[in-house]
Amino acid sequence: MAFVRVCGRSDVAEGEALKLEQFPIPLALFNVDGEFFATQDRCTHGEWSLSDGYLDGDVVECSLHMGKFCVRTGKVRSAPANGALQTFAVRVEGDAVFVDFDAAAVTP
Amino acid sequence: MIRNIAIVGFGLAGASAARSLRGQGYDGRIHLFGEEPVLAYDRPSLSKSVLAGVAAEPPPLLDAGWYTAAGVDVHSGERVQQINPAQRRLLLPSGASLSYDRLLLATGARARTLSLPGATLDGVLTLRDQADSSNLRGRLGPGVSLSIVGGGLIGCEVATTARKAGAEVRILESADELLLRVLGRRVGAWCRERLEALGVVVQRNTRISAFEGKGGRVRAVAFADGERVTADVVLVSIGAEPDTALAQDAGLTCARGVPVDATGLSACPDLFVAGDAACWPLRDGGQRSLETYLNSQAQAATAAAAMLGRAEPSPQVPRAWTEIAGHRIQTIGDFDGPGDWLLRGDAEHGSPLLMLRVQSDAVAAALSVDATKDFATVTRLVEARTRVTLPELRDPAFNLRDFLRARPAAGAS
Repeated sequence: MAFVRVCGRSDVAEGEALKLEQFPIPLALFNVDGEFFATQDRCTHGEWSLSDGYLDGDVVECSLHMGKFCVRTGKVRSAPANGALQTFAVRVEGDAVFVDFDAAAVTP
Repeated sequence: MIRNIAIVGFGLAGASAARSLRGQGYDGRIHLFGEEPVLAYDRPSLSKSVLAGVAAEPPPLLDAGWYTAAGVDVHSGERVQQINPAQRRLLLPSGASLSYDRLLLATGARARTLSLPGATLDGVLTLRDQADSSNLRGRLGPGVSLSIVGGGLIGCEVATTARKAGAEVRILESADELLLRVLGRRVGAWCRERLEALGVVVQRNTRISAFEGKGGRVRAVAFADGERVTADVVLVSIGAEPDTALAQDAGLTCARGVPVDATGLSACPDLFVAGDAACWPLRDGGQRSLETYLNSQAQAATAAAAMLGRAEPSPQVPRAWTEIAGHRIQTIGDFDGPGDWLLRGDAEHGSPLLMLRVQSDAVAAALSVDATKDFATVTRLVEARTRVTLPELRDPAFNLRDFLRARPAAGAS
């Protein structure tokens, strides 16, 4: 159980995502109207980075084949995606955003 | 009361329709018939990861457990012999028949073949299903010479994969450029150069007269001008024809697909068609079989809703993607059409590049080469017909995403 500071709040604009590469697998950190969520960055359908996707509310659309996932829960919202995303605990303290990689237990 | 829905065809459209039906709360029977002896799988991978051997099998569209949990009666490997729309019955291979309340035809398309001397030689292949992909993969390898007839999407995807597997690859294209119909001349030429850089030999303006063999196996491709090239394997990738046999036998008039309205309903009441087999209306006029993943998926969802009495017409905007020579290419709308094309991005190197066809202050079509993020934004401009002008789009500092956010759906329609 270790929360690691990954960025400042203002480093990810609302509706945008940041790719985090300091963990064993890359993560995507999403800013949904001021709330932060972290998921695995790699789409479960194709070999593509979800931080490159299109975030609409709490749903990210993979920009490669347009599969959709809820970034809050990791659940598939639209095919061609089939498998859920791993999600990771996020904590915001003051201006900093922390992610707990080891507690990857947040899988839906 | 609808209690029996039959789906004939177990590819993307068939599986998506089943999922949509359950997703919309339909709890009656679903019978799903497919000719292939497997559950629906991801067909695009057949020319890419599966052909490369990176994946042993194409990923399933839905997990096997889904069908059981959803109570779908799956009939894999069962070819429906006949449909009788007047009596709403299917004739099965066993001779038994099955009644339905609603029928969805999702029979897809078949690879077009060439009727040339030698076309039935061993080693002259097409690529459409998992068995085709395994067959081709088993024949590829270092030093194997592969001639690909037809430089369209499948041909160029296979060329990329086969070249990476060490094969000597040659594309034989009858037109004067690759990919003309789908990607246009500029990107077609650019893709050709990328493929040539990988070591693919591209011959254009070719007229093939025959495939020549020895001991029943293909050895060469012969041209009308008397030239020939040796080939251990030939892939004929010259497009697909919608599989409308069942509909035609039942008396429906077909023309490259079964004509349907924008809900998937054919000329027969209770008979719906979705996916490649459907000749579906387009948003910007006309109708045709679209042969694309996303459109098949959308059509299946629309037809599923309509079968349940929730008709929501969904005229389609064509959308496609491909991977050629390591580049990701995506399109929305038709390449051919009125308006002005403009380029954003690195026009000199050709990647990343975004091409937009602008008509009446809206983006009517777009093509992206390695510009996936911008493309995601542009698809929304196209779908919402958002009002945007040429000078705005020409400005390199003009941020598509910010623009879309500031003016959501400020469009016509």
